[in-house]
Amino acid sequence: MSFDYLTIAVALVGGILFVYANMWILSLVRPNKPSDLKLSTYECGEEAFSSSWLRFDMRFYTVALIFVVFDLEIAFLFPWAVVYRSLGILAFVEGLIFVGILFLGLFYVWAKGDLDWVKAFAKGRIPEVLDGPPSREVRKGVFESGLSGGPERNGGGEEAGTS
Amino acid sequence: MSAEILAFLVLATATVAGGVVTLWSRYVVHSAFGLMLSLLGVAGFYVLLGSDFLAVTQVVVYVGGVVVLYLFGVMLTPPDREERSIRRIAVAGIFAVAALVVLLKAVFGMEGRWYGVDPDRGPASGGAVIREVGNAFMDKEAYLLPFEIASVLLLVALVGAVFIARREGGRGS
Repeated sequence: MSFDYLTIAVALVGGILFVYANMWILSLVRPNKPSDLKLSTYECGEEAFSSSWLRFDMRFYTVALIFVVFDLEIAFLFPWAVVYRSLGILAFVEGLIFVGILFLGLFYVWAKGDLDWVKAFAKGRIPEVLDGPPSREVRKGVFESGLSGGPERNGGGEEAGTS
Repeated sequence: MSAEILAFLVLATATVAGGVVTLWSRYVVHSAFGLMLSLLGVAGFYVLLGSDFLAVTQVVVYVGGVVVLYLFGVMLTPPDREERSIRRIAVAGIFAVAALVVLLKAVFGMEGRWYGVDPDRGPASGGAVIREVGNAFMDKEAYLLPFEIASVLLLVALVGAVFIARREGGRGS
C-alpha cells in the first residue's frame, strides 16, 4: 500500500508537538506566581455568581441537527461528483433528484422558522419593540433566544452595574 | 517492525484511550472529546485498510458532525453528578460483554493480516475506491435506487429531528 498518508501523520504530530514545545519553552522563561484569583472564572470583570454549567438554548441543537443532515448529503454527493463527468445526463438528473428531495427539507425548516435565530422577530413581534417600550413578553423572548447567557445573567449584570 | 504495524499500534492506543476517557470521565464534555479521539482513530484504521473514502466520511460526518451534535446536546443537559446505580451498570455490562464476545469471535475468525490490508486482497487505494462507489451509486443495476431513497431517509430524519427538537424546546412555537 502506498503510504501517502505519511504526510498527514507528520502534519498531525508536528502540529501537536508545536503546541507543547512552545508551552515547554515558555515555562522555562516565564515567571511563575500562581494564585487563587488567577484560577477563578473570568466573567467580564464581575465576580462569578453562578456555575458555568448553564443550559444552552435549544436553537444550537436544532442548527447542529440540520448541519449533520446536510453533512451526510455531502458525503453522498462526493462519490457522485467524482464520476459525474464520465456519466453525463443520467448522473445530472439523478443528482438533481437527490438534491431536490433534500431541498424540500431545507425549505421545510426555513418556512417553519427553525433557521431564524430569534424566533420572536420572525413571528412579527418586532413592531411592538419599535412602537414603544418593549413589553415584558418581548424582552423575555429576546433574552431567552440565546444571544446572551439567559435572563438571570443579564439581570445580574444590570444590578451589579447600577449599584 | 514495519511502518504499518507501528501506525496500527498508535491508532489502536489512541482509539482505546479515547474510549476509556469517554467511559470514565465524570464530565460529559471530556467524554465527548474522548469520543472524538476514538472516532479519529477509527478513521485512521480505515486509511490503513485502504478505504480512503470511508476514512474521509468518518472524519466529515462523525468527527465533524455527530460529535459536535453531542457537544451541543451535552450543553443542553444539566450535569449529572449522581453516582451510577447498580442496575445501570448491570444493563450496560450485559451489552458490553455481548459486544465483546461478538468482537473477539470476529477477530479470531479473521484470516490474513491483523493490521492493515493484504496487497493482493484489499481494495486498491489512491482514489479508486471513491470512483467505484460513485459508479455503483449511478448504476441502475446496483445502488441507484438506494441512493435516491437515502435522500428520502435524510429528509425524514431532518424533518423528524427538527420537529422533536422544536417541541422539546417548548417556548417559541
